[in-house]
Amino acid sequence: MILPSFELHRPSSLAEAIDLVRGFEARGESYDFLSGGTDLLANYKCKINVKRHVVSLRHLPELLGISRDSIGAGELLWRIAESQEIHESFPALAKAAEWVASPLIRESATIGGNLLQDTRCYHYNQTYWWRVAHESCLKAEADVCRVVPGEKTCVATYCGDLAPVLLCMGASVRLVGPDGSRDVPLSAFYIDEGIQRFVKKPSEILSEVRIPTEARRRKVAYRKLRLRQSIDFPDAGIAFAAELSGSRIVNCWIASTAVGSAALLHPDVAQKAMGRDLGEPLAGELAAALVASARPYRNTFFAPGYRKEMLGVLLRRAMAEVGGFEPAPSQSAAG
Amino acid sequence: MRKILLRLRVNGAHHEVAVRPSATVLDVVRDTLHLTGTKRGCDMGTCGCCTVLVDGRARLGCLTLAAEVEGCEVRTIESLREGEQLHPLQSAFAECGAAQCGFCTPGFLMTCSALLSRTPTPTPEQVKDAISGNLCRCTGYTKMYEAIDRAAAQMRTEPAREPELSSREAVSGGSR
Repeated sequence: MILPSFELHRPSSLAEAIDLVRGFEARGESYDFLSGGTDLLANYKCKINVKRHVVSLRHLPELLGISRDSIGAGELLWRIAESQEIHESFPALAKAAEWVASPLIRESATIGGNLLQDTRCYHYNQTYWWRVAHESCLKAEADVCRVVPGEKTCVATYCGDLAPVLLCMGASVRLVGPDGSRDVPLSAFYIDEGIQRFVKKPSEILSEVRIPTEARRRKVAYRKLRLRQSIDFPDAGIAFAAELSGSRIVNCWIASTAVGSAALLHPDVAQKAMGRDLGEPLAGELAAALVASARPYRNTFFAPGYRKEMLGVLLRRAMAEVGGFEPAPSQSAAG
Repeated sequence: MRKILLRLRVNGAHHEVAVRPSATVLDVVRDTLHLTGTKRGCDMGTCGCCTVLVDGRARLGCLTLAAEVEGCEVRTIESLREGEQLHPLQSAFAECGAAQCGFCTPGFLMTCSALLSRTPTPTPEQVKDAISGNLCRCTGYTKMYEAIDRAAAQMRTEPAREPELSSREAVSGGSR
């Protein structure tokens, strides 16, 4: 598939990139930012929301650097997965990065791109001809949702792996745009709507993921469901984090991915664990509560009912890893 | 859309090419430089057939813009053997029957060469992980694991041996 035409810009600094954006905004011209390209270029090949200008962020030194406090948005996933510092301080984050797609994708894909990954749907991630033959959908060329008849908002699924882990770590993102920079907690970043997706303005560049010091006190685990154990996007994912006093939970966080249009924290479910002992009985209770609250749509490979059930299994496995106990046996082969 | 002029270094040679800004590395090596050993498979980043090396790292040619590898060293399957001497990986793939139709083989070989240059003695788990982004619909992978093992051992000890002529084409990117 040949990529559609666009004008490519390769700024060498963040300030230069912002200047380009100012120009596009003033002239009313459409533009996209390109980082690893594994999401954007694949969508462009399907002629999905192609813009006139593409601004490459690959050569911006401001978007690089890995430490316990901050990860540059342009850092490649394989570098995060292999970073000694991330391994030692946030092993679940290293694992989540290591489990994204395939090794070849991780050679190009970045943490910023993973957080901003476009939402996915059977009726959207198709070739132009397929979409046109099926009269397209709300998120592309039409104004009708093909998943939920009559739905006026998009229910496409967000399938990023790093967001749930970073949500559990209390991370925030730095957004830099023509009007200055601002830090937004990841918990307030995503919008559970498949087209709007997040609070970042189109003109803003996600430059950095900031990790608070309290994240170092949290024990975090991540589990995901996907068809093949490589290449595929997750069909469900759960991160669990806890601050423990012995085996007693002082504070805990649960975040999901690939079951809605955003990566989301589940404070109502996590609340049930406060002050309780971390073990299989609690895991079973929280899993049941999480499953009851989940509403996945029929727009990824696995059926919504299966994904919903698997959320509970994944949560029990993640809690078992954090608590160091054996999860209850299950029939499924999810990772 | 106006073409852009790129200065690329592919297989050790300098090239000046005028291409669309949206041209990928795969477009340029196949259609402009006529290095057709690199295959266009899914063209969406899933199958790994288009794998090339960029500064020694395995990268998807179909999802990498050519403009983004200016100043980098790009290596394709054509650079793997030295003259008539096949690379140990190519010999091992031919000898073990790890190449059948040969369409995915260049991608596997480039991925494996990146692995072995970084990890001369990979564990079975490392091998399995390294090639988990390359899809083969013929062989079932077992022969590949054998071939990679054999090539790794050979690269550590002895010079490459020539395989039977009938397999040479598949492991050199000659399959269509």
